[in-house]
Amino acid sequence: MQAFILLLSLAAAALPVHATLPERLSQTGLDDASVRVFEPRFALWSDGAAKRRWIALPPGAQVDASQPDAWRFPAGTRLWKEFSVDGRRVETRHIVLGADGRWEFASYVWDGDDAVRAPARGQTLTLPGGKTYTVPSVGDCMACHAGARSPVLGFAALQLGPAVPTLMREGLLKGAPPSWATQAPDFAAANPAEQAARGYLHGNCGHCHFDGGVPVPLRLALDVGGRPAPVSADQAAHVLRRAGSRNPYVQMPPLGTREIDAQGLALLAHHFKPETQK
Amino acid sequence: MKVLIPLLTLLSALAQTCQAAEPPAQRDRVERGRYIVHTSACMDCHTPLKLGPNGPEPDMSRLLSGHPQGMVMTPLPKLPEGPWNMVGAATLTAWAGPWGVSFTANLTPDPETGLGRWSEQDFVQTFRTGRHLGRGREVLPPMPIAVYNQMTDDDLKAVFAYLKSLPPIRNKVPEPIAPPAPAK
Repeated sequence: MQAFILLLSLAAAALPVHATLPERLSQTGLDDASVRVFEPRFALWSDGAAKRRWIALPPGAQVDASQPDAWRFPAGTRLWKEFSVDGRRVETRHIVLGADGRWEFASYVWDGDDAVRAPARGQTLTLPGGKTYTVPSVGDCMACHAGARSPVLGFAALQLGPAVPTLMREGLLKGAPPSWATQAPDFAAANPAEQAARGYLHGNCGHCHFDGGVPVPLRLALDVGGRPAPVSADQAAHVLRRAGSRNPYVQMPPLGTREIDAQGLALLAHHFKPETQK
Repeated sequence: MKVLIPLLTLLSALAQTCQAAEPPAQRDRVERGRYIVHTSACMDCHTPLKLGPNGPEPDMSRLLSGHPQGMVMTPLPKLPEGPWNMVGAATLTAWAGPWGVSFTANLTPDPETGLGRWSEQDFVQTFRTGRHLGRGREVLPPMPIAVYNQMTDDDLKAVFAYLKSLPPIRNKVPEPIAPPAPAK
């Protein structure tokens, strides 16, 4: 009976509310000259949405790369990620690092030539053709970004790889290994198939599954210059089962996808085949 | 001297007041956590009920270890039309409703099946965000996260300290079951 009474008190858990970002995407500075395009090598699966990404650093500011796998960004850093489905812009996500060291998160839903800020609790859209599209809540954003080694997931050493020497020459990184000026940071893979599979896991799972991340003995994040951590047969089977499920209580990643990435799953199945057959 | 004695008494009283406001020592913290857990309904769902001579009672051999692994659950009964929309198992550790079926978690410090690898921050952030570990899936009903989110950090840390002091019980709670997909 007590549990039934407690049910009466159920309500959505309080989420952080940030109200300082502008109401319209056109007011966020995406058209500024300082904005630069970037693309990670190992993209997060977003149900097949096409994505474009931009970053803007404050004038003269540098990214602190002294921890090669956990870059620190200067106050005022802004990033955007645009999602398009079937050739139509749907949503642009925006994060900003404030002077107080706190990241703010917002999503903007496209309506004509501009996009309007979505509610902090998120939003469900029905796209032309009837497809359902979920705009994340601020809590959803923080679930992946806030606990990661760096809250910026795609603008990082291993994700930028061959683009890093250019950033070095432009003086945008400080504290980075000097070798990056001529040699792109990478990780040690035995062959291209392993590089693709472990890169996929890094991009889709590594923001939680790193040393110091979720308390699960499964390390999928990669380190600059390092070998991928070993994955046992049991762990491999576990990864394949969860990556191949869209039961919302079982699937991995837990958020941001409703459809299985068939291509990504095949890549992982091929990579883990030796382990799962042991 | 007559003035000094009341002054010393006052200072002593003030010192005791300040001492009471200080963070509790670990032993006191565990005791505080025990008090909260046993007065805030944690036991009701996280320790399975068993039938005793006087009716249902907590199975203390499974203290706070969640829904028993291996307990055979028969198919969910179909509820009649009307306001009823939730079913609970006799153990109070399995609940079915519009969200599907949820099973109460193992809160003992077993590293494989409980909170053994969780940090204090993981625990506190679960309540602050309503998500497992503060970053994953949302915690399912009927867990009254919104109620416990009202607790202070110190109280939540005390609860965690108490839970970590329990004997670990290896009990792998089943994964939740999603509700059936809506008919097209």
